[in-house]
Amino acid sequence: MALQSHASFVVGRQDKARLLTMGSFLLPLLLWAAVSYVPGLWQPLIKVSTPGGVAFYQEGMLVEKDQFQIQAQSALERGDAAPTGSPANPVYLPAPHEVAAALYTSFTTPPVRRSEMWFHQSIWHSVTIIFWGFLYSCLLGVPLGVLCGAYKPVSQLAEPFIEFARYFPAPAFGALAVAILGIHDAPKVAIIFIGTFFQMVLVIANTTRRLDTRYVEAALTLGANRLRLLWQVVVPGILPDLYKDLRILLGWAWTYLIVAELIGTSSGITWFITQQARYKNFDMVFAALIILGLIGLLSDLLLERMGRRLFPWQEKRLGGS
Amino acid sequence: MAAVETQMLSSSSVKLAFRDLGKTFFVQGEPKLALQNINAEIRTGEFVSIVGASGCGKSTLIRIAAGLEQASEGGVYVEDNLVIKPGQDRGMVFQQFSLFPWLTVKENVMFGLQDQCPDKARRGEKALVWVERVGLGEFVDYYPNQLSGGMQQRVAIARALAPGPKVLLMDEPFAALDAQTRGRMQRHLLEIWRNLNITVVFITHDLEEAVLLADKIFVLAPKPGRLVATLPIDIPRTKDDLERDKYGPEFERVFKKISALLADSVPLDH
Repeated sequence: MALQSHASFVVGRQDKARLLTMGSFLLPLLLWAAVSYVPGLWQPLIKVSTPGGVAFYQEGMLVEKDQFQIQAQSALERGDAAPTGSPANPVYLPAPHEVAAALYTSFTTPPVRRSEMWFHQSIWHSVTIIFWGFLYSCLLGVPLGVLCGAYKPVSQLAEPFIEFARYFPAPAFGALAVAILGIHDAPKVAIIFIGTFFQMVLVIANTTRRLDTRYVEAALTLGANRLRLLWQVVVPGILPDLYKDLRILLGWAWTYLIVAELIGTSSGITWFITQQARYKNFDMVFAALIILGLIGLLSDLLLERMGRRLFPWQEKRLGGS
Repeated sequence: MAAVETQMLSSSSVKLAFRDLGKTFFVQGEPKLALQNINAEIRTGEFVSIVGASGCGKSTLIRIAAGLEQASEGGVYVEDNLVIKPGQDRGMVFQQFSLFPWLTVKENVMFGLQDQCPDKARRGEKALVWVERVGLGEFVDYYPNQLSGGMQQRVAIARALAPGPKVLLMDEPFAALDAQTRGRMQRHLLEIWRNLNITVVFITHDLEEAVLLADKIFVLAPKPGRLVATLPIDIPRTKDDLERDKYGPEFERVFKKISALLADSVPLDH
């Protein structure tokens, strides 16, 4: 009985959690919809439907409300027809349905020029840049971080310089990376690497240092030597935390993507965003942002699920006494 | 393994000895005397409890014996070999549950067998025997997080004993357990001690536990930590030749005597 009521309590809590998770997406969406669709809620501009007597007005043009009033007034005073229009939001705030449509058209619109890519190709290109940049970063950063955390002399040798180097803004290496590595993908991968590597070493060194000393001491009393201490105690001991660190650092990699994709031959989804913003296709910009968010969120969810598989010992099961 | 350094002092049945042992810590550059002039001997097969008020250095003492800390003066000898670092001649059970959470019960016990037994399958078999010996045969493939505190400490005892140490060092191993589990564990420990005829050094702040279990009690006093009494406990082990009757008159007499000693050992401002 006690167990059952406990179980139902847990389920109730899960339902509530699920509701809140949905809410965290629904609330911004509702706010966006309200601002877009509820007349007069915001709408600081007027969309001109007939120019009337105002020479420079065109149909579909967006003008400030007070300017519209002044122009309408003076048109009337000149004896011309007053322009007409309806309240509207700025061009940078497309309504949800426009963005939804853009999401569809972004995938179905063929590239304008032969040299350009389809939208899904751009996304895939971005993902590969992140993948290689982050992979190289991990291959070097994880072992170095663990060694820094496990051995003081290594930390004293490596960490001061890394502390210094991590203040280099990765974008500052853009021109240098192109000069050294050419104009294609290599400098982009390098930017992601520079953006994540230094932080990674320091974060993982710290995680390693936080390993509970009782495990190390227990291993020592069981006859473990240095190598076994590192491989059989430190590494498995920090693995779940290290995995969490990497999930957070992967988010950092995405923030450097925009810089990476602007250097050399511009490419990828962030270049797509820059391009579309230039054409004032803000519905496309929002569509691309949503795609980016989804990729990030889904990959993190996937990694979290995998984490639970990888580290089964973290889950509790009831045992006897 | 060169964990020990041979000394030519010999006294046959002494298993573990503290000789002129002192320990000074440096707290923000200030020397702080933690242990002073400890001299004591523990014989083969003896169950010795070390009791004392908190801060008297009992944990430091056993950590030095384990090789996890260095003595500032004198030292700890196991069969006349000076302890300079941790080694498999001494097994240790900690107060905090210290099983490796990423290893199963069996793998935890296998950890200390790697040097003696390079073959993994053989190692597994050996570990299984130990897990069964502490009564957890059906839990071999469980992870520590899935076990209760008492079960975890049983595994910790099996893990410490598996490499075949000469001395079992226990630093308040049952302090984190509830009273009922503690009672069962005390009995279980006595059974193991009796069956294996192993030497046990058992730190506790619980005087009743010490009188219940030990052949001999060392009383430590704080500020600085020093040995003020060595008391053999000659109350007969009436329950299956293992535990003593803690409600008997003799038990109360000894308990009161050591209580008084402990109370006297603590300065009033402590």
